[in-house]
Amino acid sequence: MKNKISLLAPGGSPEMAQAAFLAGADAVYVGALGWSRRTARYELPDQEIRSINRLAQDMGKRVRVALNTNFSPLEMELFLKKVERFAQWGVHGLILTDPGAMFLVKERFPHLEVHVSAGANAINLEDLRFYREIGVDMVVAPCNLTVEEIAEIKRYVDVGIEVFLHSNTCFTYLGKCIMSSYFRYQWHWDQEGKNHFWGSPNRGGYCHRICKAQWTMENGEPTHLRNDMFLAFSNIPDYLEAGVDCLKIQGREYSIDLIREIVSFYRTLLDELTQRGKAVDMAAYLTQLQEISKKRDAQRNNRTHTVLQELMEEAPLPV
Amino acid sequence: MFELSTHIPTLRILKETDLSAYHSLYLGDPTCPHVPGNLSSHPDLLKEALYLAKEQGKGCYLSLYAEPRNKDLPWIERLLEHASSLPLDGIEVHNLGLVRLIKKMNLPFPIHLGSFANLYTHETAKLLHRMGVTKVFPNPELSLEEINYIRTHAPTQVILQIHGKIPLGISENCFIREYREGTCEELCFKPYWLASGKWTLKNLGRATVSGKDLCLIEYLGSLYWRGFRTFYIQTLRESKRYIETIGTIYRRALEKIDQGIDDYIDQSSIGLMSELSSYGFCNGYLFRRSGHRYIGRLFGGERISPLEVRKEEWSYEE
Repeated sequence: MKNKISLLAPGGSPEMAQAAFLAGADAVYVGALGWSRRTARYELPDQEIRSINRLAQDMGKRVRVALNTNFSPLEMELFLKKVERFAQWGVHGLILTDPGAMFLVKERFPHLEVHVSAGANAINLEDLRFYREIGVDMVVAPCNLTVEEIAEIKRYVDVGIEVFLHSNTCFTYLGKCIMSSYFRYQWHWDQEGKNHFWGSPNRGGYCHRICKAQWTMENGEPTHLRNDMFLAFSNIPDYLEAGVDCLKIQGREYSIDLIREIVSFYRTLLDELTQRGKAVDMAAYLTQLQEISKKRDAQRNNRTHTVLQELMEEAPLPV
Repeated sequence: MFELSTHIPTLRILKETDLSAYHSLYLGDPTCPHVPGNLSSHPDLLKEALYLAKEQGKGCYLSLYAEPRNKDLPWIERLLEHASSLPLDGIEVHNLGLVRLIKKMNLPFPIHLGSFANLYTHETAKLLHRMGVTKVFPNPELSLEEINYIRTHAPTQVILQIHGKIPLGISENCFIREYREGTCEELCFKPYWLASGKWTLKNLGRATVSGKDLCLIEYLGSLYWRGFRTFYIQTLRESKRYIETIGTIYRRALEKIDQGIDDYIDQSSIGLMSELSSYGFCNGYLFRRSGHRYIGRLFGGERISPLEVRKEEWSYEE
């Protein structure tokens, strides 16, 4: 194995962040209220982010703040004030999507690590070179990228690579879909003056999951828009070999118990892989993971059902 | 003066269509390199098309594949080497890596940033301008006030889509090939509509576009007098009649506006546009609302007073 790989977990709440740290996460990512690719209920006000950051510093861990929506050009000053506050509090890094914003952050706060969000959809070597040249430190690889593509990027571009351990590959490339807001979209400002852009996963994080609805072709023939589960488990030894720098567990919306279980599982696996390399019995781990996946899928399916129901009934969108 | 443009994906469409309404053409289909005869993946066809279009006095931009992976970079680089000796007026790019590649190759062409590149802010436009980007398609999800903010706060020109299906997403795989047996030649140019209850989408293979046609004819005058001059009609996979008729309607309207004529909408054009639209019209996201809605007095639209629209859309201080 080439390097020490870090394990990144979701911090959907201070309790979840603490559980993740205790279960073995090296870092957590948190969403600033109104600024990350999730709805407000899984984001945090600044003071909670500050307390998680203090906890992380006490435990020798790190916090990344997701400000990775495609926010409004009229919100640029608000964004920079937010970044300045997090920089003063000693937050380690930011996850961003807008290249102009990345460039400004690196210019004004060079000590802050900038991570390119998966929503920026960096999918080839030249993309990675582009982001490296504007100063970013790490790029979150979209799930579509193969191990070979990631290995090639690591071979030719001096930039950190983070990969998802499990996710869903959307019908479109991540960050390249505006179907949700095409059907339902509301502007809504919070007390700080941030627009949450309800209905836009790129701008505010609330996706109506249009691709999961029942679709038919023009002749009535049922069809579905492909939205597959992505599980990187079998690729993990190859990711380590390729020099991937960070493995990311997604799921700010999952229960704290489930996150604790997932983090603990991957921590144990990574530690064993670091010690024993490819001699690890991956099949035994897979059996354990399948049990965890059932719980994850149940929580995700419930959420999808609720989201589509809200859309069909045009129910008030949640804050 | 103003500019009206559209995409022309193949030589056949270029030869068979009267393009007199358009000042400039984006040559190639950026959504998929496997579109049969795609000018942006066949250098020999591109050259022929370019000279034909130039004979008609058109501005010509090469439209590159929107989502190139590592395996696509070598053939795109070869295409660009070939293009470097051609009298192109620019290159449309939807991928930031390709912006870098064009800069690295020192190609003498201005770059236009395509709509799949996800341009949302003036700061990104400013950054990309330093790399040779001169014109940008803002992401369709932006409102008019946001687009205008970018237009007035960055040195790049903004290209505004004023009619046609809105690009809503682009995928890694071809939806049509997954559901239909046959070759790309047999399948690619047929219309594929998707329905779910009252919703409609149109699928182009890898790209998905709106079921409704974006239509800004009744706002064209105010857009023009606000300073927008670079307009685009999205016609990928539309009929010859659609490309010609819609182009002519907007060209005539823009010429009247340019001459200061307030009553620039020819009533017969409303009927023609309706005939050519399978599932009706929308304004996209321009008025801070869901993309599928139509706000306005035409086409049975939702009536919101012009004052309200003006207040919402032009509320910032320039």
